Amino acid sequence: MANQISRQFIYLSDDEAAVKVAYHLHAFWEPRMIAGLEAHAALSPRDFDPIVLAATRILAEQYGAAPATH
Amino acid sequence: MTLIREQDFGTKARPGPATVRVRVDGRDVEVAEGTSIMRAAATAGVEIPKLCATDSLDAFGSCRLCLVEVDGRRGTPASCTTPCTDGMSVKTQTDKVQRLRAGVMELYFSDHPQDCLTGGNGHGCELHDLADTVGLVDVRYGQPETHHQDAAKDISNPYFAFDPAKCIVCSRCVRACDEVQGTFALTIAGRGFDSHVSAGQDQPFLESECVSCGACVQACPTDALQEKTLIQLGPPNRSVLTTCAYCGVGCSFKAEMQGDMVVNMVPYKDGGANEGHSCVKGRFAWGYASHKDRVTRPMVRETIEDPWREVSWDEAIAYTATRFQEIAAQYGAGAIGGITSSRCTNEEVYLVQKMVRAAFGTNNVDTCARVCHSPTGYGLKTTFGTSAGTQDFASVAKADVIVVIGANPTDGHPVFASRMKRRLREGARLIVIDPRRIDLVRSPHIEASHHLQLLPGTNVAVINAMAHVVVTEGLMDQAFVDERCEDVAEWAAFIALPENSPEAMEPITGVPAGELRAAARLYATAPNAAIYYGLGVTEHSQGSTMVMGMANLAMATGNIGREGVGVNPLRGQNNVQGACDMGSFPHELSGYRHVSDPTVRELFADLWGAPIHPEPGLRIPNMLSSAIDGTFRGIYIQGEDLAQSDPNTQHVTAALMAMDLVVVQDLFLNETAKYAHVFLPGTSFLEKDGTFTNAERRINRVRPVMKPVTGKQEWEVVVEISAAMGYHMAYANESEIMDEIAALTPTFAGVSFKKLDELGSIQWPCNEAAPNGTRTMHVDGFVRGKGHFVETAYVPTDERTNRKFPLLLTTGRILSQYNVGAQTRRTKNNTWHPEDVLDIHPSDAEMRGIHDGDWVSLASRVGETTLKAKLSERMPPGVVYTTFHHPVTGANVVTTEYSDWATNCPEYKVTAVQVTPAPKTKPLIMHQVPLESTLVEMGSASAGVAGRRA
Repeated sequence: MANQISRQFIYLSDDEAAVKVAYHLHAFWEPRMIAGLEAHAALSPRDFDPIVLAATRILAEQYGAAPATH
Repeated sequence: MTLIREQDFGTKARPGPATVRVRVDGRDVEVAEGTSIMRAAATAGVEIPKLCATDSLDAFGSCRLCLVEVDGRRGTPASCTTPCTDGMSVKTQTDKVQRLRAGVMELYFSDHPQDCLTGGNGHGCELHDLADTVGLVDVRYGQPETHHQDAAKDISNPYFAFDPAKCIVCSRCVRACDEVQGTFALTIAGRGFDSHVSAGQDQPFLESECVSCGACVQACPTDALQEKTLIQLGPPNRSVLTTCAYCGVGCSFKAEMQGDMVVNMVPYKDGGANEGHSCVKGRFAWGYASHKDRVTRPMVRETIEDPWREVSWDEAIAYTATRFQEIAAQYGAGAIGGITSSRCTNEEVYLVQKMVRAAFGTNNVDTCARVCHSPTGYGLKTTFGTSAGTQDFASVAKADVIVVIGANPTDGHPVFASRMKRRLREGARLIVIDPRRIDLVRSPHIEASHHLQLLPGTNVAVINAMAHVVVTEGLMDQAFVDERCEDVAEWAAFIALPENSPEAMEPITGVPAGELRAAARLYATAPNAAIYYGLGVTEHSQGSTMVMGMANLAMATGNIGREGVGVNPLRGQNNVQGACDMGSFPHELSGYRHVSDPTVRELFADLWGAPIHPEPGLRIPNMLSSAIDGTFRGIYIQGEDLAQSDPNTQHVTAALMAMDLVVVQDLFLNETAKYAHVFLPGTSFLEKDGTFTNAERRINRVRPVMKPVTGKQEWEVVVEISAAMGYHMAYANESEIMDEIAALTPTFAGVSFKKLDELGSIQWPCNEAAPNGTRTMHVDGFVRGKGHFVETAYVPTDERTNRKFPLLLTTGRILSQYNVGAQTRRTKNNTWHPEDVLDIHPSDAEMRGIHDGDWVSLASRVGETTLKAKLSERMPPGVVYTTFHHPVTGANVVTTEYSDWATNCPEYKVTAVQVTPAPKTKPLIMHQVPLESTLVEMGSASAGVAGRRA
């Protein structure tokens, strides 16, 4: 799903796309989904587009670590 | 107790500012230029007798009852066909005119059954009433000879009968079918005394092209066309104004009653959405509300293997509340949530999402718009600033070019389609973008200028190519975009890239470049061009992108902000717009305000007395995946049948089975209820008191015609569950709920039940700036300020055909059935569509040895089902089509979990399948693929399980 999101911003530079993906995840994904993404990305980064990996770093930096759930 | 009878002015109103003054029987009246004498007289309070005239139809001038005398003119002109002139003086009751009328009536009754003249069969029979008016008691022409008295009654239609003996051949039914409905199913066959109404080619109504909308029945001035319920039950004695509970058109009806019993539903002439018209569903298919399958008592069970146990409301509510609290205590508030219904009222929906946020303590609330128009919300909010369509339905009357994308309005929104067809017959041009040749492409007096028959999954490629033409051929409305929009240059540079050209896209879309260029030029150069779209846009992996692409095209050509233009989502359900408005999405509170906004959260928290979480909650697909992961364990489902309507049935049922508590609030035990622990009986629209909001943002009243048969309104149940969980809400009635909605939601600020009763309906936004509501959006500026252009790169879906699954399946709806069929399957609408079938192109069928009517297997990567084949050339080779109205078919067994990137709206419209002959057997549903393989990579907490698609 995250990879699918990143592909939508193919017209942007990788940095710009990562910002867009991070914003989308923060605005629409429930915290456990973000936590799951971050955990999966940490375990198997090759499963993800580099833009998604960059987006997870932006998420952590700008919005803090996601709680597992609320 | 009274019946509502709208005044019939005889002929249509004439628009325009110029007026004329006339005198009718000594009464002065000022009317619009071009108004008929008949209408002017009615306006002045003078009723001129009429039989062939009615104000929903063009004047016909055949019955000769409406003759009048005009000072200074010879003869006795028909008042219906004679326009007023300034200073005209008319007399409607002279001796001469009265003698002529009596003579005309006598002639009518010379060829008509006697009982209408002498007996009391007048259920609103105008012929009977007119006989009294002209004082006719005897017919001089010997024993009346009814030339059609031996003609058989046509009772083929399940809802109405046609008795030729009572027909006076006034042609109102024929004209209603032509002018109002636009089906042209009826004609007058024969000459002289042999003249008779003919359906189709002198066929029974059921076998003809008749779509059973009831317009002919409503137009008939005698008892020739009559509803069977009227015949069986007799006349009603009171009316209640309410709103249809089927599609997003939101037709207004008079529920005509005897006590608490509905006799018939008559379209309300002053209904803002429908103006007196209806379709077969709203008009006739309301019997499900009293079907024997209706559950009226709460039920609980410990496990889904146990039988249901009927309990009291107190026990059901206590059990529900206790179980939700137990689960939340053990697993956290994030382990529970709810789904609101797009079939329920705004007030009911508002309280369910309030219960979830305030009583459950989570934002895990979603609504069935998730699976249909959630991309509309995302796309239009991003580009225009508002998650709703831009126009009202009447706007189509000003369109010069109409584009219909991924919609089939003659089946899905028939009353709106009738408006559209009327405009097309007047000369507006039509562009249809759809893989399937829908009826609109070619129907009586209508032919699409362009049918872009694209391959499923290539919408964005097509819209980008159209925009490419607009930009590169200098067809942009530069003044509009310069003044009203932002990010234009970036978008224009992107869309002008050669890879977006029609020629580059042709191999992808299957649409010839020349055809696409012509369609784009037609749209861009029209004075007014409007886009109407449906789930063929949204239910794709780029649904949101496509909505933004259409918005880009409309902005680029200046087709926003006035009548006759716009971007218009044809929303499917009676209150899906309202459910979204009420804050049913997990990331938004009412009025589409994000939960992360602290000012908005504070507003709600202050009034609700409960904090609102700042992060989005789970969407329906995420709830299901999290249930399988074990982190989501309790759900409250209001009026939605996930197990039938959501994609990948195996995934849905596995998720439901994984939960500890499934609460279903509904009318019937549906597919989802098989996995439920609590069943709370719901109320039908005939019992509800509240409002629905239709696709044109029109808030209509829903008024109860009877008390809830369950003993409680649905909102009362929600309030009691909340109270049992420790969160108290207090409302004396539904009006107070709307008052709270208005207090919290700026677009609803001016809405109240009182105002709705005064105005009839209100289109939001309704506030200080627009105290009577808003017909057309973005007139002086976009809601977000400037319209925002978004680059919409075409990204092919991951769902691909291959040797094993070489065909593409797309799904849709049919006129007579509605969505999962929970309502319509429990009515006589089964007459038309008793089963779902698979439409397959003859060449695809021949390759597979399949004949029309054969049982076939329809298989995808995730599942397999069997249904009957129907050979059809509506789709191109390589594409098959089915509906999903019957659970026994299990169409969603084969649809996958691919979804829109932005909203998770399922990609129902693109599934790779194979079709093979199947043994002659009943439908068989099989799950193809082990569950683990169907999980979609999304960053699941169970990282080891999240996997790839098989």
